[in-house]
Amino acid sequence: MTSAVEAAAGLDVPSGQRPARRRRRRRNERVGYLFILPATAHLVLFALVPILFSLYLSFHEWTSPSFLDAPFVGLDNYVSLFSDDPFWHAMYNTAYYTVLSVPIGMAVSLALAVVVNQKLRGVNVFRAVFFMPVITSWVAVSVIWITLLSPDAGLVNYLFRLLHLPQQNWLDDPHAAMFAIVLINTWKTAGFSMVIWLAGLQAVPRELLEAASIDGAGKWRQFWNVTLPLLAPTTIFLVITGVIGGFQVFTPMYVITEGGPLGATDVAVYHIYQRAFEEFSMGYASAQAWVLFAVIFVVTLLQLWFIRRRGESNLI
Amino acid sequence: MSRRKTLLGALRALPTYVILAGVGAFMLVPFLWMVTTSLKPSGTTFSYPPDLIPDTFDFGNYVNLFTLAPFGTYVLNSVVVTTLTVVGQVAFCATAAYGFARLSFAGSKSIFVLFLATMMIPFQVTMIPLFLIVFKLGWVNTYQGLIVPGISSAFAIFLLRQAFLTIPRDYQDAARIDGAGEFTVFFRIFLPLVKPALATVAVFAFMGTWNDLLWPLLIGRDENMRTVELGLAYFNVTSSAYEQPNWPLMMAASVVSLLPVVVVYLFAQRYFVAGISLSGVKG
Amino acid sequence: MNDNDVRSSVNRRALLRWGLGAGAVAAAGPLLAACGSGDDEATADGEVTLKVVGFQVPPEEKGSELDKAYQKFLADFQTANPKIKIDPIQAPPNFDTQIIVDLASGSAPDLWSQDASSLAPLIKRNLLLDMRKVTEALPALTTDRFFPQVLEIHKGEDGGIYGLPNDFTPMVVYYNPTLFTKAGITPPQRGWTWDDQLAAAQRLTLDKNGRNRLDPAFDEANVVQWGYRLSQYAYQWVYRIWQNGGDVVSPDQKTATGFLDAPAAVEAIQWYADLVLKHKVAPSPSTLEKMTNASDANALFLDGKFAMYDSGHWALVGLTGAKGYSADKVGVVPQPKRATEATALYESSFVLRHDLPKAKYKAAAQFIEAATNRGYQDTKAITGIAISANSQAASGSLTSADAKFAALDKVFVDATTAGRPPYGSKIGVYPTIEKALDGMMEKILRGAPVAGTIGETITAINRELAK
Repeated sequence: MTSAVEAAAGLDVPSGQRPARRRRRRRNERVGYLFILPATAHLVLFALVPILFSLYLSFHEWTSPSFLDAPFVGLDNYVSLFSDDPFWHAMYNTAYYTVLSVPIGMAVSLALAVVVNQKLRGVNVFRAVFFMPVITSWVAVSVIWITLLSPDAGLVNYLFRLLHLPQQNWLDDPHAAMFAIVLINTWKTAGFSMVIWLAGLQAVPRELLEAASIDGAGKWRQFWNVTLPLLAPTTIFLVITGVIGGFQVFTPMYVITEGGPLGATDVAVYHIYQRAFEEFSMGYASAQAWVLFAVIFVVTLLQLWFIRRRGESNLI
Repeated sequence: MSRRKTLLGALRALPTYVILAGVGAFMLVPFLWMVTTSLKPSGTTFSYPPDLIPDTFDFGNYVNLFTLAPFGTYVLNSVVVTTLTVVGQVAFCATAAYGFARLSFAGSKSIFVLFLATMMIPFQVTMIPLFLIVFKLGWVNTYQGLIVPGISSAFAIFLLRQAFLTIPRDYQDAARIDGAGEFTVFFRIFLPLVKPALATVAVFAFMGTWNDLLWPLLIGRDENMRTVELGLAYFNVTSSAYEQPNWPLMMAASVVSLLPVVVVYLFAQRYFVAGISLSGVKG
Repeated sequence: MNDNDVRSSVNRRALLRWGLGAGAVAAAGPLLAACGSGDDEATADGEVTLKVVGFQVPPEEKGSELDKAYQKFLADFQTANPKIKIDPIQAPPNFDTQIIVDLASGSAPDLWSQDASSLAPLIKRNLLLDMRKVTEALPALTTDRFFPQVLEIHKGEDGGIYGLPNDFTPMVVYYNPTLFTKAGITPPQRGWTWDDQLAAAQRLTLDKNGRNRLDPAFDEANVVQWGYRLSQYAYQWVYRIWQNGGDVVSPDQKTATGFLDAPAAVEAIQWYADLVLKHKVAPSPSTLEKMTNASDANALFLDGKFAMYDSGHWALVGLTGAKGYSADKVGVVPQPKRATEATALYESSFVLRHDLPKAKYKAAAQFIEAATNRGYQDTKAITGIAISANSQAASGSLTSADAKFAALDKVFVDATTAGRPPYGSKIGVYPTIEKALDGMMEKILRGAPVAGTIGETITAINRELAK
């Protein structure tokens, strides 16, 4: 790692040893570009070019053998998309899923992180255990959850019965299926966010909490008034990546519900995937992906705007 | 006296332990399921209610996995690809993240938003163009084809950037006054402060690369270029598309590919914890 | 396309696609060398290499009968054609995805097995070679060796033949003869009718007291045996419309209006749905889901939980391997008749990439000739994988002592005469249409009004066809 980092930033070292305050700003600029150069070059070749190609493709349709010479169809794909009800239904499901899963996932993972951040004997074991679902394959996850959520004999309905709650036909009821997916996804990914929260929690200076404690703040007040504000960078990170990830949810629908029942869990990327790889309508699928992109981009900008308005622009 | 204190502490922590144990059991069930299913004879179908603990343990699936394919080659490939990807990602993303977080330059915000934007296009529509690029570079069936597209990640840059942002400005200024170059400041002062975040990035990069199936499938065409995940997936390919998947064999394959990830996680976990003492951030 | 994939039972279709079950073979040689750039044209001494996906079993099946059949075929071919080097590649997981990426980037293998139900998107993009060019190079590769109904699958609108058949299956009705005998019903024979099927299903639907559906005291809450098992998936019912003389879309594939809403189609859909809704001789999708959550669908059938269901030859592989199998519990019969006894043919074929170098035409033809002639095709009956598309091999195996399912195979061969190509081999946008049809039947089975639901589906289908 060391050598790679040094190689990447090596050019900077000689100039950095000269303290030339006047030229600091300019030098700082140049150094800044040097720092982001390797990742940016990589981004351009392996992310931007393919992405721009998909933009190009969204104005074309692959109808001839040559993929690169797909004929130009202008705005046809986009025009056609506007009357594509199943696609908009999938977009609606996607938004619904995101609104549901992001807050639930964040709350659950923060609670887990706070619990395992305590100095307790054996807490490392629990951290590892909570991380287990993250590293378990989705196939195994789908097998177990389909059994757990079975209407008659599943464990979840058994617990519901014990608690005198109404039985659910989880994966087969159009109203319940999305909740079931959110539940499964939360279980599967909470450990992931937990680790990120944990990294944030570790950075909260103990002195601040102690000071608050001396001032008579209870545990809850300490958490609310000291810890949570200090976690803002982590919170922002998790909200923004959570929303981006939520809008691109794919695998749970792919392995568990296939978008059903009655299209209740048909989400945008699953929809796009089917267009692209079952029907080979690459141009149309790309156009759909760009509409999805526009939505995610606007939502993300709104979040950034909101954060800035809250006066936390230094964090973003 | 001190013993009594320990006892009291343990008692007070009891409710926490109960919660931890409950949630933990819930989290572990599928894992247990995977392991026990993998110990059923090859080709066994599921029964209901689930037969969580089989009557006899059959290790035949594991024997098959290790004897019927060049497993050593797969492991070697996975280790090379994963290690270099993790190292690359940490290096590329930490430098870029530091640039975005702590150095001011024109266009910094716009370029950063561009990075964010690349996360918003689903891979399903960029996969073919990306493969075309790698194909034109002549990298199909090579290590660089498997590694290079993955050595930088917008997600990791964003994560590390947020970590760098939490560090007070004084650190940078103090170091500069001492005459340290920007790279020295980054390497000697800032990097150690974000160790927990680096460990997080490393674990996620490891997990993502080790478990990836789709990209190795497109790149690793020769048997000697297959990763563990891909090599194991070849076992699950039934000769007739109409046959049922061989669940026990599949689960055995999942367990085998999962174990290294567990080990890496347990190892890296030390650094999440070590972060406390090393971070040195004081108010 | 596995009819055990009643959705709950772990979504086998999804998993198959996901690469945990699809068919195929490992890149033994650098695929890139075959990249159509002409770099691998025949060498001076006429030696050609063919990259072939298939003819390799997954590692754990080494030594199986199928493996032996493949090995023998390849060895014999190599001996007979020393100048053609065959590079067999085990089909990779997620082959469907990989082949699209390869075709898009011009790095596809020379020959691979293609599922007929996803053939049309390839034909529409001219990604496959017209076999007429290849048969010209080798007259010995005759097309009259195939069942004409099966060869029909590969005919494009331009008259081209895109791919040649390997093996196939018509959709037939599986039934449990022991249940028929117990109920005193003569087991079905070819030529039976929709009415016969409904009558049998009514008498085979039993409550816990042993009363059947026609008994006024039938206990609806405690059904222990169902007469029939149906499915919302179009591949298991779309031919019912054909049987009633209808169709889903117009022959020119321009519209569904006047077809899916024609009386013939509406009546067929209604009749099928009524098996659940009105006659209640088949479990509803959610009841079925509960049943398959509790047990494997094959085991349920062998356990007598339902007496009939529609499937293809592949179901035999699952049934013979399932718990409780005995030969007397499994019978097959061609589709029941209304106006016709039409059925869908699902098939696997050999296809060639569109940009195959001319120098390889003859070698490819020789390989396909060998793979579709009697010698190799006779092994289909021995391994019991599917019905040979070579009509002589299929009929010949019926009397062979080595055939695994000789008696049952005869029914499949008989049913083939009424077989039609699946829509997926003709309509490029069928994947989206199929989804609409699956959804339509699911809605109707959940009680949505038939006419309205068909109307919505027609709007969705017409949108796709208009593209």
